[in-house]
Amino acid sequence: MNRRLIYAMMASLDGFIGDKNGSTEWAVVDDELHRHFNEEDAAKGAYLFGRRLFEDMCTYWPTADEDPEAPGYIREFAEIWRNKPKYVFSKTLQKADYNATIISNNVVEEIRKLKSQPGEDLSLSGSALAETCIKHGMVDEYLIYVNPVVLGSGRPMIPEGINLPLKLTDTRKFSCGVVRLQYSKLKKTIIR
Amino acid sequence: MNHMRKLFLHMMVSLDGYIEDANKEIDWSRELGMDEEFEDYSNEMLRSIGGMVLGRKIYELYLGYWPKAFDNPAGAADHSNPERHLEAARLLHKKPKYVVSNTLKEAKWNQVQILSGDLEIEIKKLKDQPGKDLVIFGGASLACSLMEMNLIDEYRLIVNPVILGGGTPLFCNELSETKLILSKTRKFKSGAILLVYNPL
Repeated sequence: MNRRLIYAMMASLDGFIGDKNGSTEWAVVDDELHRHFNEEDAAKGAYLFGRRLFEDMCTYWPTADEDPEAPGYIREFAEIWRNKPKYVFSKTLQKADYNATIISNNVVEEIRKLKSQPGEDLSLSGSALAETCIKHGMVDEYLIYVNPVVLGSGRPMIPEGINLPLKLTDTRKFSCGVVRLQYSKLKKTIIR
Repeated sequence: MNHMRKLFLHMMVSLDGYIEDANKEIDWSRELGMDEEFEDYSNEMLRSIGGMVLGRKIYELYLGYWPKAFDNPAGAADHSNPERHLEAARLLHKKPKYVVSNTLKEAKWNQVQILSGDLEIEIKKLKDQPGKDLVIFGGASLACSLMEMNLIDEYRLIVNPVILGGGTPLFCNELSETKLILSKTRKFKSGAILLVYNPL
């Protein structure tokens, strides 16, 4: 049985994952939600990243726990992040630290291979990489964290032209007002 | 102190916030609309209201369907839940309907009042009247105007388990970042989830 590819996103109520400037400052997060994210990540077998997101994360997370003022959940996540196996999809990246493997070709085939390996579920991050995975029907589970914020405009949660019917499998409310909606994919993904 | 009635928005949306797909279709929400549990919930909501505010287009859509359903219950025999469906038709017939339009001249349905004056004044007048709360079912541009005027007191969104990838958004483009307070959620067996929010 294949391990599952899971795509989690923090979304506004109107379906955006970034505001019109690409920022995520509007996202509502508190200690409880941070700890929840840590728990979720700790249980994953590996991260799948696009290059840009990986490089962004490398500027902060590897040493985030060196700051004694940093909150507990930050220090906890830094350790999880550093140690977790990572697959970075990039044609240009030559070298990547922090337990990362670079995959520069045959993205779809390589991800299928990863899914067929034994181990815990895989966490997908980065919208460009997610787009590829969604279009090839490779995402098994979607976790939409619905924030109590309306943005009006911004970067949509899914690329335009993809119609995705889903099956709701679980819901959870957080005290900060975020609702976690868990969906599994149905057979048909319609791409216009 | 004068207690103002609440105006709540009640709409079916996709997970990515659309009320219609790119072809202006709503068939993705039709299955849910005919689900027994959902129809019970919807009828209960209709029973609780003092009236409904409608844009002209959605009023004309309703007009093309519901009065017939009320007049001819036998015609609903092949609907999956005929009694619930007839109850909805009965409630929609009976409850006051306030149609926002500068062009509509004639009512053509039971209990219709056409609101053609200044929108803010008309809606505030309605809210000031004694009675049960009011609902707005659409359209999106009317809802947007009311949101911008801070006249919507509650959002009840029925989130359908589908990402449409395009269509008519519920929350219009012109809105600036708005924080809301989540007050309630309710899961339906069909996979839809009701999310209720109030403005800050």
